[in-house]
Amino acid sequence: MMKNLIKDSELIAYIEDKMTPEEERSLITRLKENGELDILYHLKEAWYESMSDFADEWLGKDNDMQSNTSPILMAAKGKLI
Amino acid sequence: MVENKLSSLPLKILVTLNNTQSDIELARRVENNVSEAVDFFLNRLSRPMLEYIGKNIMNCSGEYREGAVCYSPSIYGEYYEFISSPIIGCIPQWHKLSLYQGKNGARLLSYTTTITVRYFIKIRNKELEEEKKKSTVSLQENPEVETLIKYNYFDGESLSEESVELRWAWRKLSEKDREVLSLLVIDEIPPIEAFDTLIKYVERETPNTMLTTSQKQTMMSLLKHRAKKHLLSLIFLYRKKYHK
Repeated sequence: MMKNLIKDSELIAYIEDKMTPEEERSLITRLKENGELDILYHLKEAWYESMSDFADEWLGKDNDMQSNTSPILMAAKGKLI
Repeated sequence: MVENKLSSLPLKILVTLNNTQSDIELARRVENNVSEAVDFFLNRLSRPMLEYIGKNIMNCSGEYREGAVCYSPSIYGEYYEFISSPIIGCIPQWHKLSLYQGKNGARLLSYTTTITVRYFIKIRNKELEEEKKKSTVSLQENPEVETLIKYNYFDGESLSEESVELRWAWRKLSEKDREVLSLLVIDEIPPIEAFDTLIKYVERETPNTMLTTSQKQTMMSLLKHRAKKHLLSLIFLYRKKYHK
């Protein structure tokens, strides 16, 4: 089966949140048809990992993911989200 | 003119500018094999991304380095060959970086992350195919991917009717995360338009008027991503608590 063409520029726009909801839905549909949906997850996570210093600087430390008593952290333990 | 000014800036000043023009200048210095720029690009800018890829895409076993587990060393060589190719007479030509033009305001980190993640996913899939194993990170088997896509969009209706786990997680979310997701996900307001409302959640010394559109966009993206992570974590907490 012919795969849908997904341009790098589309994925860049996705991780930078520059797509309209319609463009994003179209991208998700085409990736799903290609069986490549996990790329979106990995792109966002890898980008966020790279931006974590900026995130801490701009948004403050993510206490919800750091406090030992946080239900969010407890849920995330052993499960990378 | 701007280009000339940037080319004379020391690297440590250049990287603090944090915009597309400074990204283009950094890429040009790497292309010219300026060792300080190459070192910054490979070992500072790329490192967190490589850590993520090594751990979560290539499933490498970690190595202890200076008291911490690192996942990037196993894929560093492969990454270097990919990103610096072609290498002619021992001199890297950095063709992929020469293609980076900051088109549509795209940042160097976003560009590098995109082409590198795609490259390593391709390698991983080929390896899995060769081993005739089914991908362990396929949509069906990776609850994180499935949940991310399931809740990539949701609306007021989903919150009131469709999903019990979503409703439960929503109630447990902080007010801040709820406001961020209400604007950016439920109401689908473009990040840049939500900036004035959500800026109260951003701690920075730079006045709003000094921020570039790209910086504002990035701040809103980070805010949204962090709120989504919290929501998804709570959904997993719900599943852990009430199922199995």
